[in-house]
Amino acid sequence: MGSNSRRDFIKKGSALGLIAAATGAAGIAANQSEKPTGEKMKVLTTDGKVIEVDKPSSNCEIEPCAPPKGEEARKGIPGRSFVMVIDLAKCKNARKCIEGCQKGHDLLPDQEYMKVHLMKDNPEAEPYWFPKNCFHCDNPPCVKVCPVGATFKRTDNIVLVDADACIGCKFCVSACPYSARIFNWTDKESYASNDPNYSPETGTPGQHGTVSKCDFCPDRSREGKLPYCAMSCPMGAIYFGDKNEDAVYNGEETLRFTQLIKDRIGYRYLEELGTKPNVYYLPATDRMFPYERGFSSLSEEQKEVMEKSIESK
Amino acid sequence: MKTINQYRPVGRYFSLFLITFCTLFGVIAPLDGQSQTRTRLKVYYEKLPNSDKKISIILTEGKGKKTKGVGNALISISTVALDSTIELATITTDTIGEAFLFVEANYSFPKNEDGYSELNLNYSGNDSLKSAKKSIEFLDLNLDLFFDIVDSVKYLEVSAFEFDSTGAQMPIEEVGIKMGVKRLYSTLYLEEVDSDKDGVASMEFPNDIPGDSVGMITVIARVEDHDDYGTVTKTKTIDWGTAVDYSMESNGRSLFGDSAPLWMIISVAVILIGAWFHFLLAVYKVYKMSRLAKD
Amino acid sequence: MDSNSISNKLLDENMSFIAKPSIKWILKVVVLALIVCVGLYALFLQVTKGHLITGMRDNVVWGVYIVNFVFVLGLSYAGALIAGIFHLGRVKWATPLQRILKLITVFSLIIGPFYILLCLGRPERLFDLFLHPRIQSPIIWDVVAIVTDLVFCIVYLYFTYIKDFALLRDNSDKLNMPNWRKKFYKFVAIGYDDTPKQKKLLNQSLDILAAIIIPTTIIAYSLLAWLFGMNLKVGWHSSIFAPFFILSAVYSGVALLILIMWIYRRTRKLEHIFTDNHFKYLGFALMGLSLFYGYFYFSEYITNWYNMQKTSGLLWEKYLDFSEYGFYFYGSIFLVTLLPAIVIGIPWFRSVGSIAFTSVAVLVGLWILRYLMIVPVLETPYVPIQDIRPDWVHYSATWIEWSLTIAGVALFVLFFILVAKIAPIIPIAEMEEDQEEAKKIVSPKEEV
Repeated sequence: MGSNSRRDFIKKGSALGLIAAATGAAGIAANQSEKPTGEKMKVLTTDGKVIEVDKPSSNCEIEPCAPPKGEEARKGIPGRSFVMVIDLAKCKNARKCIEGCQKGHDLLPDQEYMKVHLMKDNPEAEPYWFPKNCFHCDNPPCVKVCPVGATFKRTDNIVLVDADACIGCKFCVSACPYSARIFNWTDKESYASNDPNYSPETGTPGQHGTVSKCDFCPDRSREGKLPYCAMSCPMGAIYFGDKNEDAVYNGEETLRFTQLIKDRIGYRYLEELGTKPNVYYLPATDRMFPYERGFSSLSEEQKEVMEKSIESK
Repeated sequence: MKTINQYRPVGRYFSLFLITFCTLFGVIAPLDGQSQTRTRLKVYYEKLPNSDKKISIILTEGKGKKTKGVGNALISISTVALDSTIELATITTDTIGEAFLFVEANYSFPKNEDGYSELNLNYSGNDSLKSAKKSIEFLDLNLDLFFDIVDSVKYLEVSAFEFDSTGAQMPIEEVGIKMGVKRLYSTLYLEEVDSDKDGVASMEFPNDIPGDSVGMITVIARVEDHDDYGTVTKTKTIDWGTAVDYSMESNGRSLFGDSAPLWMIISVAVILIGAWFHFLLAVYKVYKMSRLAKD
Repeated sequence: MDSNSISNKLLDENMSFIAKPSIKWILKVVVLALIVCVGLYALFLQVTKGHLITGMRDNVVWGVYIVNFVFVLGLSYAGALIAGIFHLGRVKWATPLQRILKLITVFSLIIGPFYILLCLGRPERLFDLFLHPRIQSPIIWDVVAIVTDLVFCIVYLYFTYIKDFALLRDNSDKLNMPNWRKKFYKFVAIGYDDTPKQKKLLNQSLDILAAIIIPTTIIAYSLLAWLFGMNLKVGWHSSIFAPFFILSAVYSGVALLILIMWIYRRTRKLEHIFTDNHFKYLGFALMGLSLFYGYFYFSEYITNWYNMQKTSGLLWEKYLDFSEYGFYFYGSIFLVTLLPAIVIGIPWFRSVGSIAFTSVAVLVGLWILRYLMIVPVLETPYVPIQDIRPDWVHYSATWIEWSLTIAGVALFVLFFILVAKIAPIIPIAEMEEDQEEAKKIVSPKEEV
């Protein structure tokens, strides 16, 4: 069992505990107000008896916990300003962020909301691994060009796509200078049109012929959980948090966002395009691994393609 | 479990190790040809902010990278009072091998001869899994938070103490106490301070921690994975944060908002009205022309 | 309307449209319809199986479809623009060309938008464009502009037909028309009797329409250019795009006009209507436009090349590399900027046939240049493509896209063939008016 899963396990426990805390002195047994999930949890009462109570449906950090639909999904979580910080010095291309995201969002194996590129800034510099998802820009070129308002910018910084409204014109895909958007080229069994449970916040089920992309997992934030990618990174390279709270968390440590960006000279990719991204990068200085180690998770073919693309010309 | 003979190629040191291992744990492999996998129990004790306790249990099988949780396994939990054993509960692990037992705040665990509370966990195993045991000892630590302002400098003070048998507070020194504030995903720890001889750890509280719209923040003091006390957390809410304007900012009239900039609407309207007006005028003229037909 | 000698002569010469369809004509229609049907089958496959059967992928999200869209709409806007300018400028020698120009406009305006619909992943949600439009999106600008232009141009085309319909109505007995044709012409002529008052009203209406169609087409094609210009993409994000697009539109429109004139001249023996002079004038226009085009192309590209940014450099490498787009790049530049100057500029080469041939070369070259303007740019994003799937890196159109492209051409020809059955392809009444004014037929027999 890796340190990663142990961390999750402990945290899961704490999450349940905080619910118990919320119910106060009346005792956990009295906590029946939450919608039950059908699952039970065991409680040892004051007089030494063991009783079973319903487990609360989820740990709700932000009300409402259920991902909203329709007009409500376009508004954003009040008071939040989500931001991501990716520490390039820690990334070794383990590709766990991609896998976690694909599993969480029910993506096909070749659909990647998060991509990891091999980058080289100039002919002399060492290459480094560059995880890249949607930057949820404050001046989003993709949202500007959408003809039907199917993609929208929310007050909590998040740019989402409503697959029920998308006409699949792909203009946003070409408008995004960061190649963050993907089109659902093939039909998939789990894809559904007008699924009553569909929320743009979860993005699932996807829909054939529409555009989708990284959604910053607001449905998980409502439960106080990190996005899939941040949670899955074994190196803790991906920090996520609320800029209004001035804190970012990678599953292991919580840092002050302003301090981190100030100290490590955080930057935003292609800042000069004026898109004002909400994903920050910490430069790949003092890296923890030689970049070649990242090739171990790639096929020989993929390795060749990457090395060729960074060749200085 | 394979017979020792099968391990011969590996070398006899390994065989020796296996024999020692098996003897030490009093486990004798059934030699009926069926193999049993080793299992392992882990347990964590935690005291929650409202003084409820939580026992987190995980049962795993296998070693190294092949480790996985054992689901739907019965684990019995007992405690020791002086020399007698009290069965507390039997709990079933979930699909990934985890189980949680919550203990209400007012339940007091009995103490053993050493003055510790003791929990013994036992998994009896089955045909393919070996049994596993685990026991932990812990003491009941209390934390309390105090807020103090001296010369407009804010101090957060945390006192750590135990209750003795008479109910009096006994300060606990040299316990590392982490102090921080609650954030959406986690706790932002500001400092870790050891308690002094009065059981008090104190820190200067920064003035620039964002709170809610009126500056309220939840301050957290925590002792983590302590050998004697396990994990203990205490929280309190105070208006020591900076007030953040959380009012909803809508995108207003913008290229990426729901409503377009006014100049854009006006230009489009002017162009369209101009063009369609002339078009309708042209159509009207042809209409008038057709009314002039001879018949 | 009096049946004077000029209109009689013109009518007599152009009466083939009224004859019963010949076997050859039916054969042509059937073959064209079959080609269109193959395209419809490809469309059916694309709708049922999804866009994966086309060559489009996440980087090149639009391929040949958008090239066709831009190209065909360019022809349309050029037709309207040239017709409008000729009309308002009272360019008499151009009167016989007017109907062809307007037909080009309307047919390509009907066919062009189909290609953008083919890019939609969810064509059934098309009407959301009208139900929830976002005025900030260039696509909505285009939708509004195309719809407006389509209505204007169809109505304009019809209004220019009215005088001819009236002429045909008045000559119906003489021409031994079947009854349905008589009724049809009577209906569509909407009571035009060529009285001075009626003539004045109709001419005023045509002037107004010509006057608004000119700015409408300029705006509409600029908006189309901005569909690309508004992208933060190296190769597209350029302020020269709108005028460049309009210039290439006019260029391709003139080329197509020459080609259609040449086809009619050859097949219908219309040498006295589409005269050598027409070819000469339009040939010179073509040459002038080619030089202008070269100027625009050069100024756009030298600016990018002189101080080359990183991504711009990658794009340039693809253009110049013969293993990528080099052949197409140099080839189409030659066809579009140099060939017209050589063939038309040097008198020894100049002939009706060579001018028509150059037009075809220009049309092909312009189509390829549009392709080069779109596909390599999409293949060169800021973030390097590190995909191992070759079709994700390099766009190559599949038979689906090609068959729909050919179907578009076939539909265009089919429209021409069918519409030519309703009325002559030259505006007889207007030519008659011109001739009455000039009292002689504008048909100088100069050497070309």
